[in-house]
Amino acid sequence: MKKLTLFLMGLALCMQAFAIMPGDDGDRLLGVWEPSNGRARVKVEKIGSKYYGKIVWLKEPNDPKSGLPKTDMNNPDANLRNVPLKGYRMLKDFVYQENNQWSEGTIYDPLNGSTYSCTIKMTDPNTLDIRGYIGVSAFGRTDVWKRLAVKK
Amino acid sequence: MNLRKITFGALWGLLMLLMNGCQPEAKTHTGTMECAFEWSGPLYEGSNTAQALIKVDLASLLGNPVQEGMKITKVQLKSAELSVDSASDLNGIGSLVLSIASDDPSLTIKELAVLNPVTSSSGQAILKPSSEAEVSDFFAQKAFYLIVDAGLSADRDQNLRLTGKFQWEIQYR
Repeated sequence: MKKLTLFLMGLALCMQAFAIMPGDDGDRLLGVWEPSNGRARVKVEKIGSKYYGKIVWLKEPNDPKSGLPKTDMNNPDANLRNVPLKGYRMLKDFVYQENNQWSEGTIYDPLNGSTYSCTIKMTDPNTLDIRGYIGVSAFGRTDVWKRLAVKK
Repeated sequence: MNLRKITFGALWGLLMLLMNGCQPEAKTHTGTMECAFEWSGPLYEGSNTAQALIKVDLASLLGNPVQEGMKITKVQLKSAELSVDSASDLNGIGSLVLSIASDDPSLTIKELAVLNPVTSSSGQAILKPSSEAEVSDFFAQKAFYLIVDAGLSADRDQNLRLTGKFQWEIQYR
């Protein structure tokens, strides 16, 4: 009985911490996040009313062949292939819905130049489920991203 | 049967020709827009973002009052120039990227121009515009955002202010 009471108190505290995060509800997405492969870090910012994530750190920032900082070599627009990968917005145009979910956005894979539809779900204040898909959400892949400066 | 098909095709073609002929001739105009981008220091090494809200003023861009029924059919960035008051202010900026975004959920952010690396001693940076980005949908809104990402090679204590001068090629009927 004592264990159950402690568990319920802990659960209530967690729920309260989740509920009192400051600012616009959607703004809880702001911050720096790391994908599960640990090869990049992505800072989520707000432009107007939408959310965007740009690469702020790369494990391998330079092109192994040229030794120069990596650029968006796979961009279909040849004039934009010189855009630096560090600073590139790989998460674009996310709109906050409800219940810790952001949608209407896309995720860009700089490795192959492909863009996928994407939804974001915050499962706890420091964890995101990022689901990329083509066409229907059911046929996609989910990656777990962790917040870098952990919120307590 | 064949004759009927041919007659129908000919009539359809004639109708298309008539409809096309009734449309006003497309005109092209180059309009210039200026705006400022400001970053408050301290700024950190890497990409730093500044955004400017642009209220769409077609009459000013076209240099004419907007006629009723006028339709913007195509808008492309033709040139993008970012300048600073003092040439030394460009020191430490490794790259500049210009993008356009909107609050409208149906419009996605687009990169419009880039300069990487920034090499300028005159205090002016001329960005290379995208050859493909078509942004007439943004100009159909009341407002949109122009965004500049300045890639800094080192931390910087001072504020940064850039003045943007953009030329748009606007096609309309």
